[in-house]
Amino acid sequence: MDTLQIELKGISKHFGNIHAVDDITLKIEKGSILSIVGPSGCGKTTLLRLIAGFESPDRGELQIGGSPIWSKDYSMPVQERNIGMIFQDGALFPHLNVKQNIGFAVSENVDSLLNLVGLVGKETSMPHELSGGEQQRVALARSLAANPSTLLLDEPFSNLDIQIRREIRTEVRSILKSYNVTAIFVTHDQQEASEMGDQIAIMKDGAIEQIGNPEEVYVNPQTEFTAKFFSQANLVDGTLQKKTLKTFISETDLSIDKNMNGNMKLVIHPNQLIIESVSDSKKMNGTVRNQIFQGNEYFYTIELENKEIVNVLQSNKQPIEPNTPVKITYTPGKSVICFQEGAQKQFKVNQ
Amino acid sequence: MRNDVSIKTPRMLLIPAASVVFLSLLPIAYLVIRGISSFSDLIPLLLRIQVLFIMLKTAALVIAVCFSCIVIALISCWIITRTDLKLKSLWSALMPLPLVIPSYVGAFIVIIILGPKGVLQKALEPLGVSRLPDIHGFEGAWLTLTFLCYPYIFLTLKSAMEKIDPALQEIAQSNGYSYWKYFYKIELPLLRPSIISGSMLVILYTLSDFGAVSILRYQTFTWSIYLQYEAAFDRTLAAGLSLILAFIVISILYLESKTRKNIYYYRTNAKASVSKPFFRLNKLQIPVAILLGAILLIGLIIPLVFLLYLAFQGFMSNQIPTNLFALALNSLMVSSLAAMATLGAGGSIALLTAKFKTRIAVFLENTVYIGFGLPGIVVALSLVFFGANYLTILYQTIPLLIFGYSIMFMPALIGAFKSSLESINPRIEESAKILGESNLGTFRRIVLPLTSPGIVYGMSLVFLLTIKELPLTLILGPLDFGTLATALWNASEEAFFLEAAISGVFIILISIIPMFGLRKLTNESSLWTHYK
Repeated sequence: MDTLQIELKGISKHFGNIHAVDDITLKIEKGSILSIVGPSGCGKTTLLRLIAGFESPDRGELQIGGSPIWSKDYSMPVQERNIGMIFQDGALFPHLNVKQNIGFAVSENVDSLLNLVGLVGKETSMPHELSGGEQQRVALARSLAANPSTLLLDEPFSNLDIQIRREIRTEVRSILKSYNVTAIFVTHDQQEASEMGDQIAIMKDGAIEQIGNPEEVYVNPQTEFTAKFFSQANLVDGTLQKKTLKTFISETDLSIDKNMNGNMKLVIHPNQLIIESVSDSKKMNGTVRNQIFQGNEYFYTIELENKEIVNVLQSNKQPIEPNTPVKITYTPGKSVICFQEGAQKQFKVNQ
Repeated sequence: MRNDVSIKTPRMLLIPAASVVFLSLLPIAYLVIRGISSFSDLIPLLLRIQVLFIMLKTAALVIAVCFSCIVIALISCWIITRTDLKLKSLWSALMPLPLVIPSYVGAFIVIIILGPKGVLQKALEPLGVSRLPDIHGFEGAWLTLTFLCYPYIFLTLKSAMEKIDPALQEIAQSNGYSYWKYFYKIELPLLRPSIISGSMLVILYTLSDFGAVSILRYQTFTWSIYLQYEAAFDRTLAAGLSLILAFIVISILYLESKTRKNIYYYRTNAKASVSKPFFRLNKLQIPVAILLGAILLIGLIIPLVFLLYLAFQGFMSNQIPTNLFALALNSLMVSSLAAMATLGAGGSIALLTAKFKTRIAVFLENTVYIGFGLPGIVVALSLVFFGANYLTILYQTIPLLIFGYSIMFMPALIGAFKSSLESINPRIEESAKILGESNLGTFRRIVLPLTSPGIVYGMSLVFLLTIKELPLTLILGPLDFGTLATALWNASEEAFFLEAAISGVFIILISIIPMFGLRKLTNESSLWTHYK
């Protein structure tokens, strides 16, 4: 397959007792962008450093463009891998100006790159005179100048302001696409990951929990961690018995496509729950604990009577204030995802 | 971020670094081994009553200097940090300056002013005073070293006092403590580690000082070693005394490193203070300023003014050292050579310890710091013994002299170079490598330009330390070889005070050259440190 650019086979790396990267196997197609998202300390930066060659794996195999760059008895030096890397803090050479930084490896095309990243007029500025966003643009141009086959981006936007982040994200994505660079983009921000990546990999404790396109991962989380961390879904305790789905919130008789019974954790997205304030305390089953305005919608944190906490996203003309007793309702959709003893299961609801 | 590179120490750095450390410790190790092997000869010598006197005299001076330095530093720090004294930043910049005066210059000025037929006695003559108590001996040494050393405590104490949370005082006072009860019960215990750490430096300086005690003829270890070395045919006693001194100094270095950890511990929860409860001086503004001014007058202004005045007189009366030009050239030469040699020797150690925190790297670094603490006279004597036995070709040559300077001053260079290496973000080097630059190319294009201010700074420090150095130059220098420092010392021994002053002025003039460089470079490097 000549469309395959990066291939990792059973890559592992430990530091002392910590398994930073634990048996990871990955394939990335030429020209596509993979976002790796996970909490800090999950091993995503280590994974990039292994591919770049700053660290050596304990075992496994690394290939770029079909030829090995690391295996048990071969390690290609960093300098020869033809990989570019952009670090969180830019890591510009502080004693060189913008033009010298971009032309560090290859001094041709500097002008067109300056134009590409929108820094014409800043040629002779020193790194410390640039804003954080400008520094990252220089870092991008500097990497592209060397015409790398693969670009690794290690949380490149996390030091920037939120407004600039949005802007630079779309810009960088379109630049990467126009250069047809294969890229791995690491972040701890799920939204950033979805916006940047053609594919998304959820990483936890050195291993990949799930990989797929963003919509797929969002709708169909394969693990409880992915459901919570990436889809930001509620995991609500429930029992299914004789086609009756019982949760603390509701009890519904369902006609489902398979024979399932027992305790489960139901994946319920915040917009699948509905709350209304109630004055009659007999009708209430939860209390608003927090309320955040999010443009079109309000994001509510609700404490249920059994102390479970759930998140609800809904639009209200009048927001429901904290400490208001509410009645919360749940109507299962066409397809329900749940976890039984850690294993993901799905069933369809016939309506 | 975890380890940047694999944890193995690279041979390419380890071998030169270990060789440098081994070589620099060889002479002192030789001294120790010789001392142990001739233990039975040494014991009766060291048990002489004369040795006991040397110990007592040294101890008396150390204790007296230390005590008076603590008093001066405490009072001046308290005034600067706790009152509303005007021009505070100027005072706090000026107070540490006596540190730059070489001890032999200080001692020489003390003799000029307070010595027999000195300035003070001449001034008092019309009043019928024909004799002053002799300033030679304990009093002179105490006075000189006090005013040269108090800055060590001043500097450590001041930063500690500035870091004490003023809320502590407010809490204490709201609990009914008077200010002085608070100071005694709370602040002083908090300051104790800094006072101890500063005092350790004062003790080390006093123990190692040769210039002041030799000019003022007070028999501490260093001067006794020199006298024994010069006078006696058998140098066993000189070696024995050196061993004892080396042992004392290394013990103090060890204690000092322990107290420094304590300071860190004490300061961890102290935050920068927003508003400080100042003592209003009101009418006392001027008297307090006069008090600080008096300290500076004695420690800094009088020595400099007299030095310049005497040098001027010397030039006017044509009492210029005959070979002034050659002396200045010699000083310049050995100082520049020492700066280059320490870079060559210390560079690998700095690179090693900045990049690899392995056990062996830390061990090598700690070991090389022993040389910095050892008194010049001890290093000189160990090199004399070692050189006379094993390096006869090099004995009393410039290369051996430079080797001695390197042993003593390498840590200054390592410290400066290492801190500039450590300030480079490791991602910057990785960026260069991933852009295809080789390890050597990365060093040349990235590391070297970024650390050059640190390297120049370190080399300038070594240059300054060497130009002021006395006992090593005196003992290890080739026959008929002199520097400005040895010329000053010889001239003041023979009471050619005007000649001595001219050498002193030239030492200060040459010292200024690298200082200009330092200033410019620190500006540039501070620019780079703003960028993270």
